[in-house]
Amino acid sequence: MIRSFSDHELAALSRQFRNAKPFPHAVLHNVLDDSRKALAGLRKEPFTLKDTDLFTFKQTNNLYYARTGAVKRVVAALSSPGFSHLIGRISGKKLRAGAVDVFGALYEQGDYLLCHDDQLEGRTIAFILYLGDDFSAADGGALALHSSKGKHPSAVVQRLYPEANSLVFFEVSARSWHEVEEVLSGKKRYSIGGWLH
Amino acid sequence: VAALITAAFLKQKVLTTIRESYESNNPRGVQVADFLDDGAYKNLLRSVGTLKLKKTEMRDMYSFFAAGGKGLAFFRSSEFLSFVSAVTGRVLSSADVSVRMFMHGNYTLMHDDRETDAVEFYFDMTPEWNPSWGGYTVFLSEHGEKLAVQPAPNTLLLAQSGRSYVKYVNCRAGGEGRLVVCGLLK
Repeated sequence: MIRSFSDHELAALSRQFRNAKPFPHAVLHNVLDDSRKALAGLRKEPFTLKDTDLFTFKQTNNLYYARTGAVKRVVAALSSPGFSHLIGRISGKKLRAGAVDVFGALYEQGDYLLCHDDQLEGRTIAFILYLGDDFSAADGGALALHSSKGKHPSAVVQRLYPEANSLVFFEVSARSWHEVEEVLSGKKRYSIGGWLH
Repeated sequence: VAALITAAFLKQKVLTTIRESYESNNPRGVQVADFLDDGAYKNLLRSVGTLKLKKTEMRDMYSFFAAGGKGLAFFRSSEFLSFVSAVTGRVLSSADVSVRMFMHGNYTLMHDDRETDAVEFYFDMTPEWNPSWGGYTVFLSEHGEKLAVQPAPNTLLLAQSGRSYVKYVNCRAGGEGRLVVCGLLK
């Protein structure tokens, strides 16, 4: 389900992760062997509008209870010891097998998630697997990574635009300030995200 | 700065009704339309128009354009503080006031360390606002219920502090902005 990575690729990814600014992160490309099936499955999952001061977007229930086989297979892959081992090897972090709280998210025009740090007890790595459209600057929807100033976020240092079948992951810490910038176009930003502990 | 508030709101009977309305809501709050008399409102619009708004941002707390200054003196005056005291039943002696413009990408967030023992107000000066743009004020009850209040011109919103936020203004707003005088009264 998740493709294998050569030692050469892993070494490069490890360097990318360690040296990334403003905090450790990396991007894996062409992650699933059939991301179209996964997207078709995710589209069939029920989404609920989430709306607070911090965000407006649509989210599924915990995907451990996914309805479709294609999504169940993705969740099984993300929860497998192999995935934890892969991310652990790249990040140098000791990770338990089994991602917890894996959710599907959909951002459409006007949807966003403002700056936050993701910190909750036990979270070591946050990951997002993009399944929807490819995005560019005109579409918005970037995962924007902020530098820190004291205990607060500062400037946007890095913008990662969703690319279908890529997986972004980053180290969760007091300085992992990030946001999902507002989607400006009619594109659909579908993803599955979660945390490794 | 005398007698700028619409005269009807200063009558004891009306004040009592406004106060009862304030007390009965959760969180405590009330909205008063046509708050200033026409002439006073036009003067305020003129004086606010001369203020230089500056981007004010702490990304995990707020983002908007703001200005202070003498043009907002009415909101620090004894006339205004007396009115708010009469509605809220609170003795008020200080006012932290600024005018804010919420454009596309601007917002405020709620925080755990927010002040909940004061009175806050929003006095709107936006002629027209579309709810689909965001930018409205949302109040949260103790039980987490939400009440969205849309901006309306010459309208005062008084509330128990620390229970509200201004929803992110999204791209549908285009170049439109919500112009509002905000303050914290103690």
